[in-house]
Amino acid sequence: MSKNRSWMWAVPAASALFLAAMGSGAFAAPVGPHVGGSISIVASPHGPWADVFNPFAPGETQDDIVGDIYEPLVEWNGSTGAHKAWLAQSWAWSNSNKVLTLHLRHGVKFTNGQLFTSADVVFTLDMMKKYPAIDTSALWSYMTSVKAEGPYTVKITINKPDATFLYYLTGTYMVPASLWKNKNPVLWTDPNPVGTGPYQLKSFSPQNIILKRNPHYWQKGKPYLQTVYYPSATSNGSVILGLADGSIQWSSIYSPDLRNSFVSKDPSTNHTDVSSGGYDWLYVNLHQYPLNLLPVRRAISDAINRKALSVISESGYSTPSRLDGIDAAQSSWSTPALNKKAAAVYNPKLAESILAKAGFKRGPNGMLLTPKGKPFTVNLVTASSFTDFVSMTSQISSMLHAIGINTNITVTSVSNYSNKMEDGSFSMGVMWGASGPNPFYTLNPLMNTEYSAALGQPAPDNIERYSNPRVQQLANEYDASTSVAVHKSVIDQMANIMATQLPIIGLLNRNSPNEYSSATIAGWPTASNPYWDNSADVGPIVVLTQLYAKK
Amino acid sequence: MFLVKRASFYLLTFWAAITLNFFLPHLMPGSAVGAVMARAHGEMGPGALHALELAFGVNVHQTLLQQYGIYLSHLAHGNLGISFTYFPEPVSQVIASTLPWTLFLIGLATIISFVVGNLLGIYAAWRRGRPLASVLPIAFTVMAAMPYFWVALIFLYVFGFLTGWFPITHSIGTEVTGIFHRFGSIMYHATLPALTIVITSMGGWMVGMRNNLVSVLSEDYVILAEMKGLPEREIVANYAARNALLPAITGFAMSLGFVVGGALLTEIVFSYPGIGYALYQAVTNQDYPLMQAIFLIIVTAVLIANFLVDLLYSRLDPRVSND
Repeated sequence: MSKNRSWMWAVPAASALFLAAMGSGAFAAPVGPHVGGSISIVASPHGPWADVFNPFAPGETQDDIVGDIYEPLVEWNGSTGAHKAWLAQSWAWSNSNKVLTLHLRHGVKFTNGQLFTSADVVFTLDMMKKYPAIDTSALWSYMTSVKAEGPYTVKITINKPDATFLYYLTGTYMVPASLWKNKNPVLWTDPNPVGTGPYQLKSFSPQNIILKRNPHYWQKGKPYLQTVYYPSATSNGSVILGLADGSIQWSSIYSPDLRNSFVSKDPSTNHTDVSSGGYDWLYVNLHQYPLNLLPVRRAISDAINRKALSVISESGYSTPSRLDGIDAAQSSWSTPALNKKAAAVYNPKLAESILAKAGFKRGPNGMLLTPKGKPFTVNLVTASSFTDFVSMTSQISSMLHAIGINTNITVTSVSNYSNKMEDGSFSMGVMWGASGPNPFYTLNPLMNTEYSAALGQPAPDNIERYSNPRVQQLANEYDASTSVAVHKSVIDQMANIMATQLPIIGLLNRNSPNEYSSATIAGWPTASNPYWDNSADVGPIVVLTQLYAKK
Repeated sequence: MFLVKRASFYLLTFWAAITLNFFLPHLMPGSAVGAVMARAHGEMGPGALHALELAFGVNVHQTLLQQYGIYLSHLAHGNLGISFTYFPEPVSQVIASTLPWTLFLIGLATIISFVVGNLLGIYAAWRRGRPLASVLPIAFTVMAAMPYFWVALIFLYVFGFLTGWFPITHSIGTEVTGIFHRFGSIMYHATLPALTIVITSMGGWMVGMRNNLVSVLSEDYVILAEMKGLPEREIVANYAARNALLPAITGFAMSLGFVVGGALLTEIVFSYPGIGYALYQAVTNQDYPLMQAIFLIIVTAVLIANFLVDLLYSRLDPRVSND
């Protein structure tokens, strides 16, 4: 009897609970994008912040934040090369691709209430002419003039057609003429920045930079998040702990085991993905014998197990690359024929036979002698604080040793390594390379003599000192045209040169992990909706303006 | 006379130090421009190399000697230059935002460690033979022998992350207002870093004090005092420990001088702002102005600390100034 009774009571109780659950959850409208909430971002550990918001300041100390305050003319996606019209609404080339007309967006205001107009664009660009120290993209090596035509049109003339100019020009941050006209932009720290961006500075301390929403932002209703915190961090370790305990919601730090240290803490909300950007290359000094011989470089390439480099040195984030400089994210620029030609193989036996055919013989100690009868020894240089490069270098050293090449490794400071590579005082070394919205931005600087320099002088990109007049011809063809078909054909031919001549040797597609939490914040790019690169680095405003608090 | 002699010696040392301070960093291979380029990992525009050289003024054609003259005259005017790492922030600003935290945290930890370590040392010598007095020196020697980095990470993980008792980063909470709240927040944030420094550095003071005191306790005057029937507490406090403390004073002054060098590992593990990390950044980025300024501060502090010890010693032990 008593059993029966309790059963009788249980039914209404359960249904009441059920109704309550329905009332609070299932029937409530899902919370969509709305103004409010906050996010904490640590793009990477920089140590305490400096009170510098000058968007032209060199280095990368504050560049995560400056891009939320100042905006460029066009936003470029670092991974895929896609772009969005931003402060410039549209643009057109004329006068056989020597005059660029930009049409600016109307109704954009700086956070001090002033309208953003063509005068600000002209002022910003003229300032770069006056102060070459802030012209980091060398815009004035192309430009001859910049003029305003009415408040929303800007005409820029360049000395010869250049198809990459648009990319470098439109990435420039625009500053208000009224506040900058009496400043030296090289030395101005800009502690109270005034930009057009979705966020403005709320407060600064070396340990935390706090941004607040710009209520008059030109994208109506956006951004949604009221406050953005940028706590400073000194090590990846503390960022991982912050991600795991939920005090940091977005980061782009490298950590070998994110699955365990972050995702597994709550797999339903803790996510990772990767941003791709360029290659890790094995640079070879083409002024040194026998590295200037193509069969030698081919043998070195075949002796390298890229899969091992990826797994051991980069925890599998970066993936084995092709030989032609075409990034995995930019594969639409390739062709089936090129795919075949540019595939990297790992075949040490083949490497040995290539060297044997080229006249390299085993000496008395079993190591190779060059056809001139001298021991074949290669010096590798790397930087002690880039632990992934140190690890890759030591792996490459033993892979080369396995086919009979003697190797020495020099581990030095970052700046010394960088100087040695740029000056051409190296034999071989692992380093990054240029990249941009399509493979031309990789291939051209790496192979064009325009980006080279005499040995002993710093070269910006072509540090192996490759010289091939065909590359210059192709670059001119590319620059003279705005047609995608022409660009595709140029890229295809340049990639062919890279893959067959091997001026430098592709190792890995450089991917870096991003970490984000959907516990309190929604609107992230996902695998099914990858609307933009998810890196927290360098003013991530395309994503930041989409994010909103879940309640 | 003694004072003048010492003072002129210190002036000469100071000049030698600032001269080395100028030339040593310039002997390092590499350049600030290379360091900035390398940190950006190829994400800078094609004109960046040239622009950076212009901004940092590295290609100005001046001999090292001319640069040395400029350095000295700037120094005399208190102009420390502009940091390359935090360009274009003036070096004085970088130091002003980091040095106070270092003085507070490391200074406090050094004093606590000195006082507690010596008191425990006195206890260990005075009550030697008792179980606790025998265990203490061994326990703290073991603590001192453990790698600091590891101890700090364990503390951070257990008391910061797992239990949530203490904050895991920074020296003060976000948006804390009001003087009492700020003070409370600062002390709360300093607890864990200070604790790790104290427990790993206390062992040295303790063992030093204990060993000194043990030998002093067997001196004739101590035995005489015991025979006269003075209370044991008075013998230890007024006669034995006072004498045993003399060598420790030198060490203490030296370590106070080195406080301004910061504690890099503490700052890295606890993301605590301080001058140690600034120095590390300066060295890895070939940031001569910042490096030179921090070395200058360290040299000055160590010399002043030494000078004070000299003065103190001539008081404590008049034989020193008679030479």
